[in-house]
Amino acid sequence: MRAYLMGLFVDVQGRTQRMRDELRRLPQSLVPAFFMNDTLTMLDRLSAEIDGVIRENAQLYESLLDLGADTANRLMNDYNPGYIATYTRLYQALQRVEFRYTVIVRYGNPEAEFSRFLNRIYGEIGLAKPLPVVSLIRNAQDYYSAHCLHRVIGVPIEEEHHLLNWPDLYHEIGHFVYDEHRTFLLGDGQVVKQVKAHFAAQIDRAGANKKAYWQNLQTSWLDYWLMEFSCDLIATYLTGRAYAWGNFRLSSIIPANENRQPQRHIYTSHLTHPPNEARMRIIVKMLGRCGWTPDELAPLQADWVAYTRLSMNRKPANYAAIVPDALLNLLVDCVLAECPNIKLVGYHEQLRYAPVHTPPVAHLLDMAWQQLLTQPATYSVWEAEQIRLLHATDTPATGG
Amino acid sequence: MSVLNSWANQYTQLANVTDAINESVQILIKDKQVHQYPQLADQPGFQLQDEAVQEARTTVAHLIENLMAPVASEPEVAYRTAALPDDVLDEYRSRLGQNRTARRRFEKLYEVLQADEPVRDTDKPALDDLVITLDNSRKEIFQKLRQSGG
Repeated sequence: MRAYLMGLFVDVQGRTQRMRDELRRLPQSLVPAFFMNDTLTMLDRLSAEIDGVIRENAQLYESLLDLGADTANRLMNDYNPGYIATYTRLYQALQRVEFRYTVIVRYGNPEAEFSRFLNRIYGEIGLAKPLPVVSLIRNAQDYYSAHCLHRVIGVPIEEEHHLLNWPDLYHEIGHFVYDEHRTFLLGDGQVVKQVKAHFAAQIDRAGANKKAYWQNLQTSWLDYWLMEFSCDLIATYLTGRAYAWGNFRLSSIIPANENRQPQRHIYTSHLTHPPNEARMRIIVKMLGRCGWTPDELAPLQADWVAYTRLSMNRKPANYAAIVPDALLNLLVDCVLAECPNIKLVGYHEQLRYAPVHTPPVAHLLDMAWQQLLTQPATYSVWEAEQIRLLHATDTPATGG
Repeated sequence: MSVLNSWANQYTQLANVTDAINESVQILIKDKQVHQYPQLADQPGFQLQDEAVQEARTTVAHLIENLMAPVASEPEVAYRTAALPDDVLDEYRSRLGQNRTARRRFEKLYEVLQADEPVRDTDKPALDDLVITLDNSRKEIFQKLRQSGG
């Protein structure tokens, strides 16, 4: 067993050293320097740790050999569970750094371009935080993603050439904001308290065979849905109506449910994501609170209602208790109250502050959706021109 | 499409406990081997400080106290290195509640630790149980963290 376990550490060491050597050999990477330096530091530390484990094991075995080879081997077995746990720790550290390594080696011009757009967006929304590293390592199916632990935003391929999905980038930015400001975005305990009270009543009222169902829903709300709703609200606050259209589009491409039923997720709950109907409901509430008029929202709402009818997704009987309006209203209140405290600049304010002839990206996204809906035949040409203009007016990304 | 903060927090919490327990168990095993083979005391790697051995005993004993508390009750002593995430603690307690043999092993190990005696070969299964169970939980939470974008 000892040879096997030490072999595992040697393997991790080999992978670590190869990544470190490759990164050191990279000519003039475009990736932000802080990300490269942090990754190299992580690799150096990991390599030193593995060296330490291998050295300590050899020393231990040598010390025990004085008692004879059989005894030494028997006593070494006492340490096997510990070495297994140590291997887990180091292998997990390797997996984390491998993610960063992939971000670095695949970082190229598209990422650098998108970073410049992101830099501009951060400026327009007033988010004075270090810029996340953009990575297009995800494919189009994996969509946008936030990796707060690594300060990385995953972007689908080709996104630097298209505008319509960019509102979802603001949702991912929302995850970084939520990560830091969760307490007050959730009303300093108010929202969590209300969620618990609501589900305590449901659990109390439910029959024995339904209690676990409501308990699971409460877990979804507390662990995931509050975060997703909050990020939707932040994105809506920042981009306005374009976020609602983006969410509409996303609802249309979500695949069938786990049982492969041909229904779309309008009312279907998932452990990590709330039903799309509830997301659209809370987005529209936020739009109303941010000053969007009923006339401005009417086409969106009419199309959404028509779409939900087409979806064949039936509303569950207990739906009003799964995503009650009262909880959504409270969350809108709390997030809306906190956004200005975080100094986030809302959509309409961004318009006011923008230089003449240089609309904020959020407004460009609204224009993109309106252009698509009113002049679809010329949309592609219009979009390409807007991207060209964005390049002409962008500012260099400053990174971390 | 998001990093799940709760998994990240749980992972960090569990990783800290797992590392502390693993380190402590290694010290207790070395201490056991030195008592079985006193000539080892002069060997590199076996020169153990009394304080380090005592701290290792305390760390493991406090985790056992938490595990042996009745399910759904809060342990009276909250020791920083034994602060397992609630879900992991509940699951472990529940398993011990159903496994009398494992529970008895932990009770005996706890007595030995409280008496400041070196652990014995018969205590090894309980120590292995701690290290391997926490290791498995760590793997599970790491997997969830990765699946959710962490």
